[in-house]
Amino acid sequence: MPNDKNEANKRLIEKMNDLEKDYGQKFSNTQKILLTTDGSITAILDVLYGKISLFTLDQHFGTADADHAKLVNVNEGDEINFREVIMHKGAKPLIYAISHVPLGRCSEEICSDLLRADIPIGRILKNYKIESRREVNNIFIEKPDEKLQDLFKTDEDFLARDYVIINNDEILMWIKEMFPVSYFTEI
Amino acid sequence: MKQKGTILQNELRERIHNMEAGEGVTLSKLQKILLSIQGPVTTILDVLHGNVNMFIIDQHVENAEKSVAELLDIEIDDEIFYREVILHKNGRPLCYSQSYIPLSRCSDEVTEDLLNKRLTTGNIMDYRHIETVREISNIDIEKITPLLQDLFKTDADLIVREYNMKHKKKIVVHTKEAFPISYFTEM
Repeated sequence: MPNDKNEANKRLIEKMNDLEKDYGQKFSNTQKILLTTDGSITAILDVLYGKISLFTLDQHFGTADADHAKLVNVNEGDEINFREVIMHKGAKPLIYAISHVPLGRCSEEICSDLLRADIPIGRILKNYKIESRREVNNIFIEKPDEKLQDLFKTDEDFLARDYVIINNDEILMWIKEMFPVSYFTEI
Repeated sequence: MKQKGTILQNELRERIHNMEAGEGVTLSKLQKILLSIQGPVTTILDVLHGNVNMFIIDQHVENAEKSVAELLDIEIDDEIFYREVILHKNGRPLCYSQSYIPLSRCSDEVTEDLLNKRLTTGNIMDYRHIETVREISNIDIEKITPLLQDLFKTDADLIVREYNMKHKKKIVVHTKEAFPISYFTEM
């Protein structure tokens, strides 16, 4: 078969390869899929584990400091919804995620769903048929803080990625997802 | 962690489960993931296999017959772009894909991208930063066609899914993806 060259996902593949090289460890297929998918990971976890649950650890409104403003491309002082959730199967935590959503870019209905606990962002986008695209910014290793150590009962390294959901050419959401490096290694 | 949070509903898991029960088959986790992700399978195949390549079996412009017009919600005889491809790695076929694209809903740039035969439809959407809503319309198991029997060198049944990508509330791509049930069983 002739090779019509496809390099559209090269950036993602390179990010995965670079991380494996830097960390000195090969990652499993499931870990790679979770870190690179341009869709929602909720559906993937659901397929892998059956019914999973979402628990909102915290959600509040606040003003963007310089770092937040840069992540979602707003001005310092703009209002942002900060949300912190954990997806789990029974008693086992699976993935921790934080999101920043600039309120100026949210419709009233999205803002209201963000306020209601335990609705995944992918589901909110689907419910309101929000046309969007996703861009993975970084795939990396991060040391867990005390909160993550406590939630996952481990002090091992975490695999992480951060990405943005873009709507109307503006960042609607910035999301970071993390899980321990020993998770999802079976396949 | 105590059991808390909200159990997430996932109608796709139920559809896959019903399909397995109805057909008397058990799909692998990877097969289920490929069925349930939003949008093209190219990203996952790229990450799992290294860059996969596209072989175009056929592509042409035609006038929509009734069944296609209904699929795309366009008028009969409207011009559509038809594309039939195999994603492969070093000549080993991985996934067959058939797409219908209403030309009146394509920008000149996208039409040009389609004609130059270098990028998959999903890659074109990413490359051109087209924001979409993606909806899976069908998942099924079908008998393999003679063409795909020849390409995949198997007579195994096909796992099939169909999905729409919508932009500005209209279907811009209808895609059917298929791979033999004997593929992707490793995880």
